[in-house]
Amino acid sequence: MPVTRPARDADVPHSRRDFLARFGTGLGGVALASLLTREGKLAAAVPGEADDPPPHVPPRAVRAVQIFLQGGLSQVDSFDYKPELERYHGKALPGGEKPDVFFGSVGLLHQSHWPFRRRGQGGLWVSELFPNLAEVADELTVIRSMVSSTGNHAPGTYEANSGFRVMGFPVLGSWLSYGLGCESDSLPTFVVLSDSRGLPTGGAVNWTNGFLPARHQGVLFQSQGVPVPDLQPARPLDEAARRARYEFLDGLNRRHLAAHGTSDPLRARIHSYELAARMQLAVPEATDLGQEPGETRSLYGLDRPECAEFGRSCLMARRLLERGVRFVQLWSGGALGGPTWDAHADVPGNHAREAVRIDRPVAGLLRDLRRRGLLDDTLVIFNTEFGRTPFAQSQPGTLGTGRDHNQTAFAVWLAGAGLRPGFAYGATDDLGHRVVQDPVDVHDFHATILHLMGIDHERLTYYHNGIRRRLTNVSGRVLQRLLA
Amino acid sequence: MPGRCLPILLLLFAPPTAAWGGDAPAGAGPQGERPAARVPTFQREIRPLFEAKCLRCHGGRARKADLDLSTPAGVQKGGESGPVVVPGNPAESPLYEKVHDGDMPPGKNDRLSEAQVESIRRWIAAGAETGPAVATTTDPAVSQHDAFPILLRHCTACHGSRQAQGGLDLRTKAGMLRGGKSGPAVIPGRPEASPLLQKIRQGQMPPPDRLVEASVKPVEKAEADVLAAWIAGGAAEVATEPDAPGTTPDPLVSDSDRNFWSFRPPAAVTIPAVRHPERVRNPIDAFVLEKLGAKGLTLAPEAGRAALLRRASVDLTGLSPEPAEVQAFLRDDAPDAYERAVDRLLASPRYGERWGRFWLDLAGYADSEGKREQDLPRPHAWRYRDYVIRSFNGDKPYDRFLLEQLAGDELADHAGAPDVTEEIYDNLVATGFLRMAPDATWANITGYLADRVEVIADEIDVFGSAVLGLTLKCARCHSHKYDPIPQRDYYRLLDVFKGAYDEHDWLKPDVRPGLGPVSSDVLGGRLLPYVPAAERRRWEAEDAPLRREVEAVRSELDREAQARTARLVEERLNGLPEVLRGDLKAMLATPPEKRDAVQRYLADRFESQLRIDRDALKALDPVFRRLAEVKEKRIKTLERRRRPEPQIQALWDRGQPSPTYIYRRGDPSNPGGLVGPGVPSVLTDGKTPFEVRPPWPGAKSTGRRLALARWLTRPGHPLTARVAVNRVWKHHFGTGIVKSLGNFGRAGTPPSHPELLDWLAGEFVRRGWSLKAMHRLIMTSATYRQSSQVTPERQRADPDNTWLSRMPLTRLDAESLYDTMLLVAGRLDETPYGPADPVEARSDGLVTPTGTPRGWRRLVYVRHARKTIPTHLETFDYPPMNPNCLERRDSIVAPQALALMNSGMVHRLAGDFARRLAREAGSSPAEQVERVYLVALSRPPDDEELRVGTHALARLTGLWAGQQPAPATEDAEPASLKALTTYCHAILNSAEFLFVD
Repeated sequence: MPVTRPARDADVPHSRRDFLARFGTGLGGVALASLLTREGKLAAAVPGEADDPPPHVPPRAVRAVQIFLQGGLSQVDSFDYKPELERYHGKALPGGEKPDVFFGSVGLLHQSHWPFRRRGQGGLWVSELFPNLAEVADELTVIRSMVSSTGNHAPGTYEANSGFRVMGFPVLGSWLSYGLGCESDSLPTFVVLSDSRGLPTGGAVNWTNGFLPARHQGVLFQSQGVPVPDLQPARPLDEAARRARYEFLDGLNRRHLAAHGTSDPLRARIHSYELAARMQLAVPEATDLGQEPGETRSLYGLDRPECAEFGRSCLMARRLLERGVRFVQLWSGGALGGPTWDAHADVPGNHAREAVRIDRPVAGLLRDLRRRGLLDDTLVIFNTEFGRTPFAQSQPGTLGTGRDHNQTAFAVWLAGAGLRPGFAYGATDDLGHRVVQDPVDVHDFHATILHLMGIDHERLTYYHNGIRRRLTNVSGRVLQRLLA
Repeated sequence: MPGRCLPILLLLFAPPTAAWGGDAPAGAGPQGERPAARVPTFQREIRPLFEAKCLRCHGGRARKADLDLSTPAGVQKGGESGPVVVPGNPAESPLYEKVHDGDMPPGKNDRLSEAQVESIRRWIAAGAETGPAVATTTDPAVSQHDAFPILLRHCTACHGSRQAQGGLDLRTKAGMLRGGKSGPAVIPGRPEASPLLQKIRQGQMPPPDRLVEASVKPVEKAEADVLAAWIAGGAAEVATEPDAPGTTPDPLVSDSDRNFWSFRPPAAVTIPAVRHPERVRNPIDAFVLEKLGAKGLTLAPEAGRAALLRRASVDLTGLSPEPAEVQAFLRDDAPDAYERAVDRLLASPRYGERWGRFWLDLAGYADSEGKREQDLPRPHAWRYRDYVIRSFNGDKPYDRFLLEQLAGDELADHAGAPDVTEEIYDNLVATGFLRMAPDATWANITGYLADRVEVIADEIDVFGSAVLGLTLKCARCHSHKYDPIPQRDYYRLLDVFKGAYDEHDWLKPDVRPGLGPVSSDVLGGRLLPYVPAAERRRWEAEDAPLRREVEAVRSELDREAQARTARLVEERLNGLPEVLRGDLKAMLATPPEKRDAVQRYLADRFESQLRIDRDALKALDPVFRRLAEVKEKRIKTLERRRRPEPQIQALWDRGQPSPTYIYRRGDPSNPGGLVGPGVPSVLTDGKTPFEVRPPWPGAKSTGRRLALARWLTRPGHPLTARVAVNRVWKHHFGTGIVKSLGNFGRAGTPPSHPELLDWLAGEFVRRGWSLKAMHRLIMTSATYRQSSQVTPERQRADPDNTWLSRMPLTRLDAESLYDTMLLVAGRLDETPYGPADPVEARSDGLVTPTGTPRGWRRLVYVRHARKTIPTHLETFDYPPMNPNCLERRDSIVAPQALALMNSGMVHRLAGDFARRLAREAGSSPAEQVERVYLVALSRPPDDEELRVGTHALARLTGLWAGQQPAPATEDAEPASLKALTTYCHAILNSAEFLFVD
């Protein structure tokens, strides 16, 4: 991996300090910086800025990628096998129970729309909804006992990502950026790849840094066109004019610096222009999938129209992680009301449509990470804001094919570094409706992820408006039994 | 405070063996006792243990967390978070949990031994007896204070002040006895015969199908049991005075607590004598030089004049000085030239636009409700923004400014006044300060009690952090961990706001049609109509013709539709048997509920084909469809031009506050003691009651917030003036004398210059709370006028510039940068005030102000909807207002560099800047360079800069001239202008432009 390799050549500056001293005002050094970046010689780690810096515990993962299924994946159709539900298929909930569901229509119980089978060595139950993921079931650690505090999409999504139901709190990726920094000084720490069909509801608040410093905000890479805003000039200049402008500006800034002596903000400004210049070169390189061999591209499904888009995101995620990005978040599903996993009317139609987009790419990502040895220290997170009801969302006494929101039980999985693979944690009742064993709330989930990344969730804090804030607010425990 | 521990009280109603018999109840589970072990007793084992380990903090006078473990009564009562022992259930007993987990006692060496912990466990498991109960009170076991909160949580939304459905008001016992249409709701002594309880027990009330609509949760069995117990006991009402500040000091706040520096009134300080009096321009310098001297330092030399003017101008107005100002200032050799420049800047209307923005950060200003992704607009919020800007420009005394914002509705009788004066208008608009918290209670499912309490908590947080400089919110769930603020003080403060902010009598944010889901249950709303008559007339004059035209177009369309429908109906009737026609017409003319059996039959059979609604008509009649399209489009156009009726988003006391109970652990479903209004005890002498009077004779308003505001603005208040001058200082020097601007408590940073802070606070009050006087004082000091030069010596001895051995170099903040770029480019539209300018949100996430015909207005006038904050603001550290912002970060990161280098906006402004130069400086490159420096950097270039500049321009012109013009573009600009644009773009990216010296 082209990270933290020190520069050796005699005509190359020996340290960043040296570099700054010689090309001190930022833009003048761009030409050189570009040369060095191409040679992988300037990439250096940028530390986090937590006042109690991690690692607090031995890190098992150094980077993470999250696939977030917006809308609510049905657990009883995917990772939580419920044979009893087949017996109760077409019957009313036992005991005449009338649960309070989002849309208020409690139809009859409906068995999984896809058959389940035990998979791999570990015998994990995975349904036919995800045939490719099923083949890598031995890599997965499933949590079948997730609960959410809300059955409402937008608050549930904020909660899944930031621990809070209201918008505006820093999300997991921002906390990781704040705590761990970046392995590359040419790329952002936290990159977001949205669904090509649209941004999730709320847009950028879903990857907000909240009260954390601005550099920890998720940077949205567009899946088409220029990946980063303002990466290239709005009005292109030819090389000579650009150079003339840089030289002029460099002269100006050099005089300004000389007149002010060393000063932190000026140094920071220089650094910001350097990073901007490096990003102009590093981002196009990192996002250029054309460099990947055909075999890899088809592993991710780039040659299949039904999943090529998400395949591109997965492959781009791997390239970014390899180049030192700390956290990549991929969204499956756009804005609510548009294409998402929110299968109120038709689970077979909706989930089949959504699953085929991501099944092969995500399985390909796991395989690719594994064969490159990256899965040993990479964490893969596959989650959703809540689950779906085991009964149909239809009039009482009828058996529709949709399912309503279910905050009392849902299933997610983790894979990779430090986890007990091929293992399922927690359990729901016979119908998959409520958690009955080892409930896991979002704080437990986040505490465990932070633990895997070497962070004690109680020690990663940021003082804001009078409170030492945490990702896990005032609770959360590490799920020890998930760990290898 | 009456001991009100529901679990224990309820146990009194259970069979005695279950709780107090000393045997673990059958099936009580894992805590089943080994038969041989003797159960520890309170007197013999437990009390001595408490004495050794706990009573130092939880006994006698020291009662941390309001817990007294020295007496049986105290043990039973528990602390501010409720009971500490649950008899028979160690696992649920906080006391056991704390000693078991080692959280208590806090000192490592004080920890209880395993045997001691076990002994406590067994004592609790066996029932936690505390010896023979001593009857100290004749209070009934269950009183109205147990019952009322339950009714408030579940019933009074529909049976209370604003709706008394069925004629029933359940807020008081009298109301319950009087009952509603169907008789009394409560029959004392007979719970099962009381309709109130019957309806609850049978699940009829609250009506299950209306729970969500009323944002009410069902009554739980335990709650119904409490109501039953209360009625069974005769619906007893004990005479309880709310726990409000009295003449006896609170045992939780000691005089030594009051002795902490920020809780003492600012001291009278003597101005120190210093070794270099020649550097002293005013007393500020004496204080600063004294500290510098102790470090072997002195002030840096005075900054250059041009630098000083740019600094003063950006500091006061958020904009760099205009070229003419620079030139005039540089020519002015009068000794008071600088002082006059400061005065001129203070008089500029741009001043309020900058300093008002600082206050808006503290208030958490937003043009939308936030919290939910719909982010509904607040179309009237801008009036508060304008009020703030006008107040700063008019140098409204800070005490008056606070009075208006905290209690404007109680300053004058707005409802009874014959005219809406400017003063009344300002008073009411000012209360918008307390309406800024993110709020989603407009929607039923986010309008529950807990959501409402959250909004109030945010407002208390805004008040505490912005005005008091305290982290009050910590005391919401438990007594403050660092500061001597007991939990009851927090709830006393809530009670001050209760007349206006009542979680049990809630005014929802207004949801206007078209702005979000229309909620049928919006009551009242938060708008008041009291705008000055002139504005209302202006609006009427503007709106009336539009409204009339809309009505005219609409009725024209209606007439046309009616006529055409009638014709169609007639045709259809003609297709039906003639004998029926008369009856059918009669049926159609009769409203459904008045029809007889025959008409109902006819309606069933024929009405659907004889009723033709608007859409059906359009489908049937293409002529009408085309007409309707034209007319409807016209209506839409007209409606878009209409402005909302002038209304004020305000907060006002409604005179009927519900009682305030402490919420144990902050949980509104777990109320504790009843409290009355008061302010934090540590900020008072602890012996003076909080005096509340009606604001005027016969006022409906409680006067509580007015009392709070008057207390805050008394001259000797320990915090108000200190917190305010510290912020002024921060915005001039980059750092406060107290660095933690919003925390003057023990966990905050102590002041670097305590005497200076107190002197400034004293001056502030002496000078009539005038902020402009403080600016003048600070800015004319030698400390402010020093240069920003860093020397190795200063860097070593004063690395963080704590001692002010130089001025800091500061980055322009988001607004100053944007506004100054517009100003420099000649595109700043300086129209002040009024509704916010819209923004355009692109699908890739870029949010930009749409601008005005003359350019763009200052950012403060652009819409600040929480979800679509202009990208520029976010890139340059505008934070989410959650609920407010006490201090902006000033990060310097790559996306900022990318935005300045590459964004379309900066390129466009560089072009505008270049055209401005060409206009103002002609075609001479030397004059252009001269002008660039004057306009963008507020100084003339020196010879070297002039040479380099003209050289760069010449080189760029050559490069542009050598380029093939791009085909098929209208790009007819001469190479010299393109070169000038490129040059200007570089200047806008220069460090000197971005930083203030």
